[in-house]
Amino acid sequence: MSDLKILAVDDSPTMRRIIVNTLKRAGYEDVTEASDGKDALAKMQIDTFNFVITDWNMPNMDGLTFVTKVRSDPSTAKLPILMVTTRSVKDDIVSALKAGVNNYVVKPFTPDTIKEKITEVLANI
Amino acid sequence: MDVKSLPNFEKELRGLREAVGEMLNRFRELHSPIRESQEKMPEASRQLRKVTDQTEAAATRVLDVAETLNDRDMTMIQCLNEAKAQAEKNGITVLVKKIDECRDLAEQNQNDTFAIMEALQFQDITAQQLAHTMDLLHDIETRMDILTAMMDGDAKAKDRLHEAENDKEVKAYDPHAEFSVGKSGQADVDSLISSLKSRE
Repeated sequence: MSDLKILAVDDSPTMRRIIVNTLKRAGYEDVTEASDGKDALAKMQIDTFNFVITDWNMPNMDGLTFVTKVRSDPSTAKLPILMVTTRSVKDDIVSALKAGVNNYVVKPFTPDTIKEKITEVLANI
Repeated sequence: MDVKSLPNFEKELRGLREAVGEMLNRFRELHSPIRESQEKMPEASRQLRKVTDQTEAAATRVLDVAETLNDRDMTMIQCLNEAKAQAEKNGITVLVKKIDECRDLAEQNQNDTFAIMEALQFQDITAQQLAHTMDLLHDIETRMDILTAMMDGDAKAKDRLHEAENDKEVKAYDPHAEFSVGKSGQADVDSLISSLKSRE
């Protein structure tokens, strides 16, 4: 069982549950949920996370803006971030990488993909 | 103007007046169907919202059952592991083999449960597609409101049309969201990221 503390950000309650179940299956039990970028930043103010999984299209604050803000804060600039989204066009992927995501998963994803990408990101930081 | 051409001029003017009158009648005829369509737009949006709400409720219910099945499988696998340990301790090899078969079945169940969860991601994708459709309907509704306002002689209606056209509000949905992207989509993304990172 991993001691990684993960923040999972998605506006869909169904998706958040699926992500939490997928992470548990991969051995990551400590998962906190947030419903959008603004909620995620608020939760990051009161708790410390060492991995973030975020959606892109969300109300209040979208994933790209959230990632940009995380990267601009020196205390979270190096936080590993995996984007999990339906957006699959090249320009979007390039924008996400430029904003600072470490890796990118398109929905619908398999549990193996999530586990593989988390492992890859952690291996490269 | 030549006096002799006056009758022709009068005839042309009369013809023009009739044409303008006919155009105005046509506009008035359009007004009523446009108003009726406008009245149906909010109902169309409401129905689409119901679809989103109800598919989310159904997906939540399926997820509840999938989680229960998964928890039960995990308990079963744990029980079988304990039983196997006992069987091995007592040298009952036939039983050990049977327990392994049962455990394989339980693990297959777990894989299938996660396949159900993977399929349930459709709900997020269809919710985005419906949000896009509702947005398009709202856009049509706004433009129809402006059109009827212009037909009613509202001088500021045209400004509202420009505002609607320049609306750059960030959307909380992906207009290209599709369920079919999946595995092949991920392979393409991985390939793109590899090529981008190798250029750095």
